[in-house]
Amino acid sequence: MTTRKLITICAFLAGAVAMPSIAKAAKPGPLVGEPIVRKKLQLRKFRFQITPYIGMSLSQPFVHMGYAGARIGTHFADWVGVRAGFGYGVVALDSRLLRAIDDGGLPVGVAPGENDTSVPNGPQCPAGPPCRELAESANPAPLLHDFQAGLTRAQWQGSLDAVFTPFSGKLGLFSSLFTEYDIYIFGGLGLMGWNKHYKDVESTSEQLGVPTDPADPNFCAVDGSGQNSECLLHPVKADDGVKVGGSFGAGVNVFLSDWVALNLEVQDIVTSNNLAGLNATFDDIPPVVERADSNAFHNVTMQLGARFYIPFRAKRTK
Amino acid sequence: MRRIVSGPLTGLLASSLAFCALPSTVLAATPSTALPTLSTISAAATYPDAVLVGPEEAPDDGGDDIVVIDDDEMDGDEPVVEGGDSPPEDDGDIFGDDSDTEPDDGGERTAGQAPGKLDPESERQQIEAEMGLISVVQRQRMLKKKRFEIAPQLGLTINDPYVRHYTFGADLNYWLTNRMALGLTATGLLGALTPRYDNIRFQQGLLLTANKTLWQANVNFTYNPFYGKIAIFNRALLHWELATTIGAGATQTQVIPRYKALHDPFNTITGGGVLGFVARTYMPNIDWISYQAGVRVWAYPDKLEPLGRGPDTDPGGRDDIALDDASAAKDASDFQLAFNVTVFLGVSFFFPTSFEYTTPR
Repeated sequence: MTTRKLITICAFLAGAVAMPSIAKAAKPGPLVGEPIVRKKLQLRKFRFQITPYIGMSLSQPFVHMGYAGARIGTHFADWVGVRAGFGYGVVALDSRLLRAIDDGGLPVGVAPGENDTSVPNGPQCPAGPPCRELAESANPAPLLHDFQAGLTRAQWQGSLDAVFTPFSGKLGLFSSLFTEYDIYIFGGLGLMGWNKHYKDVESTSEQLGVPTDPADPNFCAVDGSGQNSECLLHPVKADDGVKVGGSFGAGVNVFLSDWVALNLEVQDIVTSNNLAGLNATFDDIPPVVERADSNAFHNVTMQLGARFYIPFRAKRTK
Repeated sequence: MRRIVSGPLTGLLASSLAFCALPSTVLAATPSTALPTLSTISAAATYPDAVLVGPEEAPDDGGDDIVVIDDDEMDGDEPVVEGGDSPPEDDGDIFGDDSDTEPDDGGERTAGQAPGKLDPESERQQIEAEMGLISVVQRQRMLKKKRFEIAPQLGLTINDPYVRHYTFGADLNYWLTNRMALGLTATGLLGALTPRYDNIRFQQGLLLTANKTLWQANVNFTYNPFYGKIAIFNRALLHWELATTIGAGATQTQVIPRYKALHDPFNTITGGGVLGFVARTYMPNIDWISYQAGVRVWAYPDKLEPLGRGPDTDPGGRDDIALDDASAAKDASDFQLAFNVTVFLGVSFFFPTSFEYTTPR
């Protein structure tokens, strides 16, 4: 009897152990691995996309820029593709900070040929660049024209990105209006073109035509009057040209039909640059504008466009 | 939960239930095997003029039909097919509005050809009534009506390049309906100067006038007009909603003295308005948690440090020594409109922790 009980218990335990594997083996049904949506419109796969857009910078401290541009791209699958984009700044707006700087935030100095009136019997400023007022000699700020000579703005931007579109669906509003949409992210190589904001303004050293390399024996030296203090203490080197960095962002497409979508996107191109072209470090004596004065800067833009898909008809999945 | 329903409305209920189950059946179906009853109803959902009579129609034996209602089927995510191991046929997309969908040809008959059925007009009206139950996205994942929502949130201000705030707080909402809620929002902010502020100080020799925000609190009204489903790599579905909030409340700010060694800051409590957008999504099979991401825009009048508050207070100097006192500086400052744009992430907990669907759609 005891033996029979033991056999029964063992059989039960063995069955219990075996049961999960049996259940597991039986569980997968015909739906396992099947797509969640059938007959899905493949709005992106093997379709070229052209997206004219307008954009606005969101993070520039000195000059806000409005862009007009376009992106072209294609998708290898419904969820992955590549694209290239370019936008050129067509509207430049001075920020509130820049307006405050231009409207008295920085000392203007004494115009050439004028007398310094900040102190009694002030000297006359010789021909050449403006001179610092004697009353402002302790002010660490550069003169306005030096600041303006170094200030740059993001004139154009471009990028080459891989695009991932993991999210797609339909959007319903009040159960009556509905459309397809997708949300995508992207990342890749970014390019920023920086131009001088005040093209005609020259720095003190440029106006004097003196060497700005500290190793030069004539560094900031003006014939007959020694070194120019503005050139010496407030070096300027506009950080213009093309900057290469990383591009990333996200966007959404709301389809108006199978071949056109409203596109909203936020793009960030991170570059290393020196917006004001002025010295920003303390460990260099005399101060010079060099690579260490640059820092990572996020060029964030919001872009609104219309995306056109070619061919115009989208295929459906099985 | 299961319950047995019988009676003359059985046909209508069966049809309604099938409409409710439509997303799940469509979502999880394979086209090669069909459960005729459901596929016939699916076709009718796409074609309003279709007649809902098919080969699997229950025989009219003069007695009441019996329909087993499984509430789990109404959820839309876990299709349960009784009486067979073949899933229903899928001819449409996830929302059942695919115009390419073809009806399963199970044999179409008119009322005149089927003695004992409703007359055509009555049947048409019934179909129209049932069509009214179909929405773009059927069976919302979460019902919130008469539930409290507590949502801790963490965020970041994004509109001020010189002072960055890290925010922490919570929403407390009571959902009057599944669309509308009244609530409270309380947010604490930790402000810090950004490297851009220091950059301008070093390069331009300028000290910027800026404030940091200490806290914000408001009452708000939430309206939730958008909801839907989203496919992830066509392998999983998420339910999501988008709500807009509008509210009013109080904000306390603190000036950041330009000369910290010389001057104390002063605080200002002010009123303001807030507009926000919150998107949320839900976890499968959890009826009391959602995840949210949103943006809020605060607008409020604020007092900045007066420009005459500085170190040059000697006789003939350009700064006003009277403004060294924080309260005098506050009195000398005028209100200016300020904005605070915050993006945040949060987790919502709903109480009671469960809900029941009360309508068939």
